[in-house]
Amino acid sequence: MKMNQSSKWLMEKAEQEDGCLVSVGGLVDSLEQSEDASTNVIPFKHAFVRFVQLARRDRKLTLDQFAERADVDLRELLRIETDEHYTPAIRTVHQIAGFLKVPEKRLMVLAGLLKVKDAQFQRAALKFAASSEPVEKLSQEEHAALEEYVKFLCDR
Amino acid sequence: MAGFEVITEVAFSFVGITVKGKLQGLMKLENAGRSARIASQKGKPLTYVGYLETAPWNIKLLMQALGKSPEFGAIGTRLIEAAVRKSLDEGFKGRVALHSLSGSERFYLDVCGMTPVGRDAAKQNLLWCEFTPEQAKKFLSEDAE
Repeated sequence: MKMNQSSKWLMEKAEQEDGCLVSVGGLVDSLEQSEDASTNVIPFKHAFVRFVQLARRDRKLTLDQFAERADVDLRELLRIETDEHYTPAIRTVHQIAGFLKVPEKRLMVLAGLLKVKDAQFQRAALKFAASSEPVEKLSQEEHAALEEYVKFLCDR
Repeated sequence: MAGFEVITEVAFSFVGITVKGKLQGLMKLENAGRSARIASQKGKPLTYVGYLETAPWNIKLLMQALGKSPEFGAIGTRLIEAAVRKSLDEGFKGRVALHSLSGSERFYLDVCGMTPVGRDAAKQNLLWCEFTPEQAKKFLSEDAE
């Protein structure tokens, strides 16, 4: 395929594109529509997010440390912990399952990569997601980090 | 070395942009069974972009949140250029369509210059955007504003 070789054209376009998102949704929507409507992905995803967060905190690991030990991409780990609509890569879930020593297929289901019709599994995921929401007082480190970030936001 | 890799299977193809062997962006094109919806082109065949995404490390908003800069720019531009050229190769005169995610509409409408034809109720109300042959030509032109 012969592409435009003009650097002027490309630089102008790059400048215009800067900061834009470019995602296209046709295929994703088709895949979502083909999913079995009886499955309940959101509670699973929420449970997956909370599971990874709590497992990491339980080991007293930072995101950096967790990513390194599980051999996963830090950026992807960040997205996993902050965006429950994000579907992680199969390899990432494989690595996390191995690191946390949990059944890979079940973690794949939680991550939204596999579907199951298992009411008990769904109920357990929902229960975990609901009951694992943090209500405890912030630790000194969390409080300090929050204060520092608030200060940063206020200073900007 | 940067390069394009096109893997074609009958009616659809994937286009990827690689730099030093690392995938920077990926797009799926469908070249059959899709037709134009814009009034002046209605019913004419086109190339449909079913999927387009840049690698996370090229997304400025994401990288800024991490305190970093994106590695490469213009990935979306290059992929859409490839879609237009595929359309031309197929004899579709540059007609290209896609369902833009809501956060991406600015890119397709303002940067690429596609026409917002309408929300598609069958696709979660995503916006169907389309290039007419003239718009595609303008997009490829160095003289475009």
